[in-house]
Amino acid sequence: MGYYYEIKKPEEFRYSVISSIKECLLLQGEHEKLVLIRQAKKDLFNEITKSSKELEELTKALEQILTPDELTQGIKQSIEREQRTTKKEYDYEETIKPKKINEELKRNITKTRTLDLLDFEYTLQNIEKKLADIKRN
Amino acid sequence: MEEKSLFIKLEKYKEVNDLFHRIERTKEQTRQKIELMKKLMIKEKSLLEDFEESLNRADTYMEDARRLLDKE
Repeated sequence: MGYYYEIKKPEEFRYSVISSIKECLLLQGEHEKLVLIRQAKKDLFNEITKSSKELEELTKALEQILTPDELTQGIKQSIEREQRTTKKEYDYEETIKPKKINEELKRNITKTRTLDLLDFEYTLQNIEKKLADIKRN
Repeated sequence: MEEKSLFIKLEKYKEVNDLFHRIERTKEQTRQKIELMKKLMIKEKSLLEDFEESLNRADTYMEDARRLLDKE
């Protein structure tokens, strides 16, 4: 058996209840969006982990092929290149001072950034040229 | 002999070159995924804020209704 209230301000009461229900419906819709976003985040996180592992394996493979000297040289070139590029990118931002750029660089430089593609292509071209000379002679 | 040694070097550099390209590609893809993750996190934060506001409004409306009932 329910209770019956004779409300003196039925309009106000109705408005409050309906508004509350409306907000609850909104909440439901937002919750659904939230669930979707969290699922997408989970999937993306798995993909990022996979990519990181792949990068690690590729880097290991590279380390096995290259001699320590070649790696050191590559790291040096990469740092120089990175500093040139990063400086250009951040110069216009007054808030980021060179000190900060260096800190950022130190954090970001990994062995995966070590090789200068141009240098390798140049070496490759030289070797191919030498081979062609040998064959010709 | 020299030819053989050069061939070995050439093979090595080709392999390094290929690995380098693969590393660059993977790095770029990872960067893009991280950017997307950042966007999703911002969206999630804003949704949670909306969620909280909506919840507070629903509470206020219900409080108003309850107060009206209590007055009767």
